[in-house]
Amino acid sequence: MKQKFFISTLILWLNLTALPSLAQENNILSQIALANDLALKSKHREALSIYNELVNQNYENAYVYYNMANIYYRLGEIEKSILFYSRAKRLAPRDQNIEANFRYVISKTEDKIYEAPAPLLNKIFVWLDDFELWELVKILIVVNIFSYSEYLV
Amino acid sequence: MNLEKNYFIKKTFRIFLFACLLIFFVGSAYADQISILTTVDKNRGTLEDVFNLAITVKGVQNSPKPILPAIPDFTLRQSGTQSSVTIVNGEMTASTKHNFLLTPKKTGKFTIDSAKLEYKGQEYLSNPIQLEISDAPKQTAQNQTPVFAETFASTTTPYVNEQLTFTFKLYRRVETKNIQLDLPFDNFREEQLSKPKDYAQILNGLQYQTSEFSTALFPTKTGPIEIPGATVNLDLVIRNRRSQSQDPFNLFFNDPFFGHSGRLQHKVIRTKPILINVRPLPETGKPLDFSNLVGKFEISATIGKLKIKAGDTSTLTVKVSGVGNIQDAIFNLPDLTKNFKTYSDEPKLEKNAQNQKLYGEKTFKFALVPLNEGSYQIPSLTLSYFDPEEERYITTKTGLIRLEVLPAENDEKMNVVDSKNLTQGKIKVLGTDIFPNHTNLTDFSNQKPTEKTRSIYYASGFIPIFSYLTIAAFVRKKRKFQFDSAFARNKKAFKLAKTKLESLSSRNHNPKIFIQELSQILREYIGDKINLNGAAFTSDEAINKLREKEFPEEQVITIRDLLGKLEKIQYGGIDTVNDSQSSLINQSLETLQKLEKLS
Repeated sequence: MKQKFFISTLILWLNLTALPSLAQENNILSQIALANDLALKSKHREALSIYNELVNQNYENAYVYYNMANIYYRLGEIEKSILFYSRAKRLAPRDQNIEANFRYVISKTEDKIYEAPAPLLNKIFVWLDDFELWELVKILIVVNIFSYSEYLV
Repeated sequence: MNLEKNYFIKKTFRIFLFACLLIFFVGSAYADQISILTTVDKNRGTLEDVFNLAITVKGVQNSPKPILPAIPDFTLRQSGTQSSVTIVNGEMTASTKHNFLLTPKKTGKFTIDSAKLEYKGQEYLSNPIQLEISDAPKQTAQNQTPVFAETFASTTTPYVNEQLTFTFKLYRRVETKNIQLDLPFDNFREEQLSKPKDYAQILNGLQYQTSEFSTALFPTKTGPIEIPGATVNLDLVIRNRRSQSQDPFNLFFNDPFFGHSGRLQHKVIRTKPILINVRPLPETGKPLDFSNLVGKFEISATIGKLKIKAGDTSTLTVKVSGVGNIQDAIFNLPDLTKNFKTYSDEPKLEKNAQNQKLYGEKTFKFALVPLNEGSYQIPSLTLSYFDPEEERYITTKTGLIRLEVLPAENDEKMNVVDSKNLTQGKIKVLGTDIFPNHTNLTDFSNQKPTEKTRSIYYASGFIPIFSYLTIAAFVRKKRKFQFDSAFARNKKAFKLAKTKLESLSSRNHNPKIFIQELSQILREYIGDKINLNGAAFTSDEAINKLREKEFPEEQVITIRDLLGKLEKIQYGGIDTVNDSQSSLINQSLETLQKLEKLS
């Protein structure tokens, strides 16, 4: 009885929280489409203002950051461009376009950027940077299940 | 039976002991009388004879191999070692014979120097041997030799790089085995024409089995050159006389199937060297494009597509074929770079023998890429070679090839790779830029963690640890139950006792049996708690055991009183407790519950 109650409560909670209003999401996508279009027509400032507005509304996406970084590069604001490429890389660490543009923009800087030597743990777990947070959670769960194998056999 | 066995063991042991002593004494008996002797089966022979050289070491059984002197004029082959021990009038002699086969390389008188034996720090020398080698008699069918060989050259005055056919023939009238042919062809390039063939041939009325093979030789330098004589090593099969008897058993067992049809005699056959005079190619009339081709050749050219679009590829195939040193054929395409980009392929060569001549075809392929539209003509392609039969240089050529080049499709500009840049390993960079914006809307979902996802993140951090610890504890407890019987009995004691008490209360009992069973349930509970057989205890023993296990005194007294009461009822008066069975069960259950809480 208790179990049934717990499961039904959990499902209800998941459903309620899974409704960040579809209308709101559609609105966001239409704004992104507009911003993308403006960027394509070289109306960089207008596109940037839409992207910034979205970011200020707690919206976060690797490709929005990537597009913003591209626009900043076109506008000659290299430092902001690097910042937004870094943010994009954090959310999509294995995207080749983001990586390529990031390196290209870095190469355009006059000052050489030296990376500080990474701590030992970072060197050992360097592969962690290649995974998104969700992927790490899934890996953790799988590793956890495997760790039960001792008890299952 | 045992006596027989013991006797057999003793007898075997004696024989073994005797054999050991014999070996020991024999070894020591002839140790001081060592001699070394070199012998040959004959001192005179021809170039075709094989000499059996034997070095006998007396006084040592299984002697070390003697050191042979240098014998540069002979080919040496080992042919086994023989050891023997002889006892004559009680005197034992051991000897080791090392056998060798000597094949002479040239005629003359030769001395085989002493062989040397080093044994136990001392050196022993053998006697030297004289050998006289004369020329081999001419072996032809006329003198009815059982085995002989001949070599022929198709010409003795070839031009340099001209093919001459060298033929080797081995005639034999007796059975032979282990034939080894050595044909050194220095100063020639060799191309085998065909596989060796065997056929029967009648020479002067005698039938010979003939093995023949031919090879194409191309002299690589001018002047007098000697084709050295061929050397054939073979074993003649000498039939035993007995094998020719009509005894049916001999006929049967001398069948080759049984492998006892005769003995082998080693034989070396040499052919005479052939002297040839290689002529240089004449300088007069030598074409500029001559590339050392000697023979008879033809050239042909075909093109894949006669009409192509600018930028497309058409393959020009040039074939050079004929008899002679085709492998040396080189073909260079005339300069077409004004109108075409050309790419050459690796030439392909096919060879085969036709009428004792080496015939070949070499194919050259070129990919032609026209640069512009228009009508183009590929000029005649020429090939120059020297014809040894006509003794002059000949230049042969192909016809003209016309190629129609249409405009490129959609008028697109040709993007021909600059070969100069390619060779330098560089790529021309037209410009650099960043990758464009990302526009696929399906990838623009919000990645910011919501409250829900954040909860899942936290949960995913804690749940694995929590679940791991829970399962670990559960499994640990389960395993303890499985493998620790004391623990399992202790933990199950109350539940078991409770079940038994409930079962007891639900039945109608004879009072005496009821008390007995109740007492037993209580004692069994105590037994389970302390991992002993509780049913066998008296109440006093049970109490003592509980005290040993340091149970609280209060509970010990409670259960002692209960057990004492039951004993009194059991052995005192039964009827007095007839109506209080349920109260006794309740009392017992309460006592056990208290005990369980404290344990």
